[in-house]
Amino acid sequence: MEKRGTSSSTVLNFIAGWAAVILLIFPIIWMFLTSFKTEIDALSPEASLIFQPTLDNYRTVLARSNYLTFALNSVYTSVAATLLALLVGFPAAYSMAFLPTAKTRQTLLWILSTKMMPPVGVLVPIYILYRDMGLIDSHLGLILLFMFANLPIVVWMLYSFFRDIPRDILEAARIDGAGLWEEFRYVLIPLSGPALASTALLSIILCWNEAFWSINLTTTKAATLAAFIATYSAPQGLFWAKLSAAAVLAIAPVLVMGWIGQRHLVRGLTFGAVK
Amino acid sequence: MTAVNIEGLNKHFGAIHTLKNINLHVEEGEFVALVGPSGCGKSTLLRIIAGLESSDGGSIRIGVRDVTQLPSKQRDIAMVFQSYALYPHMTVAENLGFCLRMQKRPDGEIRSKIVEAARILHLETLLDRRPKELSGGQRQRVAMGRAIVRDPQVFLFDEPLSNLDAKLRVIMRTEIKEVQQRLKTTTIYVTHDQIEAMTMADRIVIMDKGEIVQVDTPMELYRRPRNTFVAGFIGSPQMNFIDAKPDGKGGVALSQHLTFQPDSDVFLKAGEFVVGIRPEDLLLDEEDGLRAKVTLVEPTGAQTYIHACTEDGNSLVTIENGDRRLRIGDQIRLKPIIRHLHLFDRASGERLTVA
Repeated sequence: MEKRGTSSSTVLNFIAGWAAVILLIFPIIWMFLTSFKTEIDALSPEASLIFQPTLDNYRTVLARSNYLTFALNSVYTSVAATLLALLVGFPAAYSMAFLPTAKTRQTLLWILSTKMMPPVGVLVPIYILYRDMGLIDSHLGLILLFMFANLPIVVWMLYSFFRDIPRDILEAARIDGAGLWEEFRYVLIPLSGPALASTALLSIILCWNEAFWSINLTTTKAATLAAFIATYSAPQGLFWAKLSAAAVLAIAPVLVMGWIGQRHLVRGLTFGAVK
Repeated sequence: MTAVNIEGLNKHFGAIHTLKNINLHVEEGEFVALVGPSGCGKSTLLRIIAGLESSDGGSIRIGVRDVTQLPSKQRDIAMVFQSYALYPHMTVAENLGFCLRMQKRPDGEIRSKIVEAARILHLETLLDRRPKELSGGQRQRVAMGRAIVRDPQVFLFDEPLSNLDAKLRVIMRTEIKEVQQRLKTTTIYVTHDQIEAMTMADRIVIMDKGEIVQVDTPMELYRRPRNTFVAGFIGSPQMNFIDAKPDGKGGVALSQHLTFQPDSDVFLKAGEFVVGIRPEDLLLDEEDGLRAKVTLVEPTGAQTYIHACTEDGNSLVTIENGDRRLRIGDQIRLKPIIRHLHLFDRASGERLTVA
């Protein structure tokens, strides 16, 4: 039997891996530390890890703006948009996976291609449309935009997962007397539990992190946490420490959610990749 | 018990004409096997009967009902899939009871039917397990059970044994046959395995290139194949075929030295024939018959298959029941049993006379 020792390549891989992790996580750690500094410490050219930590920034941020309103807006919009996207995406993915036509492949590619368009390209038309429909700074407006923005990903993820479900199982259900609704309820949805969970999680995270539309289309009523952070970049200058505190407050919920659901996320993103 | 009647059924997949004018009548309680090489349309035919695929014209009647346009769930059929298609998230009991639940039957009835099916198929101890915790044979039984509990008018089987190993296949073959005989449910069974079809079916439907070539009982198919395709498809080892000519004296010349007189002269209208000889009808002889050289010896235990090449270059197979130790290269003589020969027209492949 071959013995698996610690070869030099293993050590190199180990170092490279950790270097990559530190590189990626560094901005978050930096932001986290800065949020406990005074504005003067935060601006000091000698970046230091040793400082007198303070909760002042958090106090100011929470006092100055209504964090809870922004946070709830983020929750409403991301959850509602995700539910809506699943509601539309599930039947779409079903029909493409189980009842494909000659054009299914092209349709899927076209759906994905819409994600490649820079949002700023449609900012003006959408803005005018929203203004005329009274959707500016409304929950409904954001929910619809988030839903459409995430629909391609939702459809693709569910489609990849459905393709792994043997068609025979659904046909057996049909012969057993299930109509389309029963087929969904008793067979497809229970079988897609992990897929639905990871798709929903990813969609919520993407909605939560969405900044472009929420900054441009909301002011106070429907503004999400992304817009909340942006308010700390004022014309008077940047308040690094307060901005960091606001950012920590904004990303904390989603970071926790991602941490808890990371196993599902990885599985969701690799559906259909390995048979 | 219900008969199934299929009339003028056609199916196209794009430009391909998959089923060509299929007509088939399956009697009440009959076990019919659809057999043919892959791509012959047998699975498509079964799926159309099941309502999983639509047809392009033609009709299907189950009993007195025309089900051609009905969805699967209204056809009162049960189907066993090659992959078993068990619901992976449900226990064996839930798998068995699913169809009854869909019919909104009372809980008590569902439970008693599950217990009854489990008893017939020896699944009593497995009711709480999930499909992934079962062996291949057990999964196969659950799939059978799912068909049994609903007491359908017709059972449909789509190559249900092809995922099992050889030994289990023989056991399950018997079990399926026993269950079918006990329930007397009309059954249509698709397989590519002619042994399976021969051993299980009351009648066999041989299909080729989207058409039904012959429908008959297993022994009739074996004894009187309609053409060279059926003759070659049914029987293992395969039937031997030798090109032959009239000898000018009213007989048929199998080789320079061997002619025979068939008991009917229908065939003489055709110029050239193919003579079919089942391996067991080709006997080893000391003095008479076709001269041949042994090319391969395949012992199977009780019998030995001997492959040989004749002087005219024909490859033949014979079955040897005795204990003669033949070796590759040995010279032998093979004498056909004349009254068991099959005669086919060489051009069309159709059977010419009653041998």
